[in-house]
Amino acid sequence: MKQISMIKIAAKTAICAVVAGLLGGALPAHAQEKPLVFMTWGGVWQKTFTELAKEYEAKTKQPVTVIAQGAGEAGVARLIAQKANPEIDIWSTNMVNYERAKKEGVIAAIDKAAIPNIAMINKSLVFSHGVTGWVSLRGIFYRKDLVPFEPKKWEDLWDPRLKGKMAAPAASFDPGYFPTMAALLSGGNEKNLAPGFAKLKQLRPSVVTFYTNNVQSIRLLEAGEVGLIAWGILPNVISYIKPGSNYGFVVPEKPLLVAETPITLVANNPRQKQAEKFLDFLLSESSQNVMAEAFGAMPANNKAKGPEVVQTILKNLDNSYPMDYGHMAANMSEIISQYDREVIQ
Amino acid sequence: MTQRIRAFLLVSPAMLLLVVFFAALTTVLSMSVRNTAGDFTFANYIRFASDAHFLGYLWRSIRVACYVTLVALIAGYPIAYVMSRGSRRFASIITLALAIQFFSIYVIKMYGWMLMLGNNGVINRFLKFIGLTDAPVRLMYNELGVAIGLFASALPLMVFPISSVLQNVSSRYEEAANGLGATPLQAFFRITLPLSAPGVVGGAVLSYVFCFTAYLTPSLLGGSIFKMIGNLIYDQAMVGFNYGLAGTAAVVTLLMSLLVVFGINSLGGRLLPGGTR
Amino acid sequence: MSAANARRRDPLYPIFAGISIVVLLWVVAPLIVTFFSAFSATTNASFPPEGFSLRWFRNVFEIDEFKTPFYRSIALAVISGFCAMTLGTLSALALTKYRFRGSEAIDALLMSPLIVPQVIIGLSFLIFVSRMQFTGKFTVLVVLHCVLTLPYAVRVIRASLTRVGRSLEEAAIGLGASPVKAFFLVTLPQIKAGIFAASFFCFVISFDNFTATAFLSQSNSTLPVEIYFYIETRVDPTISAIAALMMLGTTTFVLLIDRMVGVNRIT
Repeated sequence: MKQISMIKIAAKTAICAVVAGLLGGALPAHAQEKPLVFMTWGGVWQKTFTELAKEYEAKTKQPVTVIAQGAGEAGVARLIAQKANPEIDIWSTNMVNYERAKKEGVIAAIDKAAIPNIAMINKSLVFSHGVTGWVSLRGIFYRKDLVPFEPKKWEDLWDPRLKGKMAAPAASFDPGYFPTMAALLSGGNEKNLAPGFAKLKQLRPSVVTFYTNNVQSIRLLEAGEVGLIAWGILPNVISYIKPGSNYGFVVPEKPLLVAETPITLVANNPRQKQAEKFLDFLLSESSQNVMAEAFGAMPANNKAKGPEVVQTILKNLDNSYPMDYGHMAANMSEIISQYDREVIQ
Repeated sequence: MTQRIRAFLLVSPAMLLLVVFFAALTTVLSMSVRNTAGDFTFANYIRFASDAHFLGYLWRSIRVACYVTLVALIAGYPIAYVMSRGSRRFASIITLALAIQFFSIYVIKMYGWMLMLGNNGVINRFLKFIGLTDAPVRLMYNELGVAIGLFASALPLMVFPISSVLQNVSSRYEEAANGLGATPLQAFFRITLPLSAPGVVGGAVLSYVFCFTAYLTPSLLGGSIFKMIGNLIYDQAMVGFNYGLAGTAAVVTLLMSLLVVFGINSLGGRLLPGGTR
Repeated sequence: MSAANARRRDPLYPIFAGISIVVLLWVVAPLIVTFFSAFSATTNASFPPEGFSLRWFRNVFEIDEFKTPFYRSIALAVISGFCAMTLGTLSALALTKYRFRGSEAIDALLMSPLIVPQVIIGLSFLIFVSRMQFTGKFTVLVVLHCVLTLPYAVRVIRASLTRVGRSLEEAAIGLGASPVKAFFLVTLPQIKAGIFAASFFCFVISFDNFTATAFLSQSNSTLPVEIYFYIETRVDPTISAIAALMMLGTTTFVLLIDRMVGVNRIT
């Protein structure tokens, strides 16, 4: 009967789909050498590292696959899930997740002898279980035509002339840094945030809205809804900072808070030696220049120059505040609750 | 083979799948009664219940879910009515419009609302254009924006169950009532509405649970200023790395949802003679 | 009295029709706005669009980031839809054919994924998978989507089975067919529309799913999750173009279903 053959066809198609799907998910990459897997963020980061990986493969015949991780602690969660049998070899992350990963034992200690390029990296940027790949700057992002004066220091945020003209970060945006900045201005620090929250409470009347991601902050400025973004991430807005542009970015230096982006090696990994070689490649002067230029960040390698825009914004990292990320990571839940409670509501 | 065994055999594959589902749910439960060291404790629940900040999330979510569901009912019942009673063409157009809206990818629906509700969005520019307002009206990054977004997504959830029940409520009942001397309004309130009760109950449940536990809409349209319990769970799990607290909020949310579902079901059964089955 | 006459004499109808139009215009407006903003010539995604250009549409096809998630979403929707439909049909059969104690409980259990909030389903799968140290990502997504779409499949097929009734099947059995044969030869063709509708529902619900999926797989993920993270990082109207294309797809899909089965029958 016609209906039966229709059903048979449908069933056959479905079975084919199942098989295709399973195959698609299960087929390993066909390569001479098993590729190393590098996990980083999607977008420009994944793109840039994919190109660097191509360069590396051309040089060393070692293929490297670059995969993307989500925001928040998605990367750490993944590593923890794979702890017994890691599929990822190298991982770039932020300092808070670095501390979490270290605590969970999913990243390996760095053997400086195996990574010669470490010698060119600023000592403050080398950690026990990771090496900074690039430094992402934080500061105030604003529109010159929408603010009564160009801010130069963090205290300027509390200037009464900026009342009702700014947007501030939500608790989950670059968590922990903003209240730390306020705390450092009022006699506290990242371990004693209470003075910081009190100071941010005073800022609340000036704040029009809070942003949870970069696009939101950019849109707020583009649409003219606010004149100033109180906590901006330079790499995300660097295309707006050109000479003669309406947009400005200032990195106040008291305190100077920067976000080091460590590259780490996954623990319990039989291919650690190959991973170390790739990490060494990423720390080389040429790779560092490529990365810094693409990301709008400061390179970690002393010899690398970095994009001009960044150089005009900040000369060097000499005065950067040494943040206790371990403490921040351990207390993050409380920090974001308190931020919501005291600053936003 | 007895009926019972046959039946169980048939449902067993689905049950197996749901076993995985419930096993996953129990891990949330187990994480909520553990502290960071891993010991068994109710500390998370005590903390949640005694902290006005966390309870505020709960209260906000209940409140918004209640009035959005109510508005969805008032706005949605007429749509369901027209879908089942309207002329072929009109009913089809209405149904298609709602279906297209319902089946649009959620993320994109919210994106559209962002374009409409922003300070430089369609609505504000229109208001300025016709001279009603000078400064932009804040329609987004607050409770209003979230409510509007939730309403748009809850509407189909309310309409479809009601319409499918109404389609089975023949208009002959109303004709009979007319014949017996009732006015059309009386016929509607005394006959049609009660008979559509199962649909109303089904729609209300789906709509309420959706709004109560929403995450994406308050995230995109609430601007961190208006956050709901779904956001608390997400923030604590994905940013705060605190599965214990996230799990606690999750368990509380689940229990409250179940309570409301049973509540609406039994209320519907008692108030409207149509029953809920 | 014909339906049209009943309508004319019903004072409620015009009021309700008016309300319907207003409400529907309101909820459809953002879709229209998004659709037209995709044609903007500048990087400003606004409405009305500034200038006219198709560049953002071109950009969509040049984005690598969406290609794999798109196929993944399709594969996921097809596989989990098929599984949910099969499991759903079996369960619906059990619930409609047989009267047995515990059927109410089974029914409630089958519907439970609808009531458990998406956020919680996502969170629970995330914790469960990381606890079990299980890394078959796609498999987990399939299980998740099966769970999410199963209630819809059961509901739709159950409604279809109830409408069809058992008389024909019983007649076939009476004439000597085995129950299994009777099901395949008699009942299944009758509920063809219902099965089709259930598959459609499951496919769309799976393809569209965001919250639970996002918890599980923020990277190497499905299309909605990828779109969401794209919105979070890009300021241009490419997303409007994607939205416009998806809307065209959805509209075509829905119109096709209407032509084949009648949308009224499945909603």
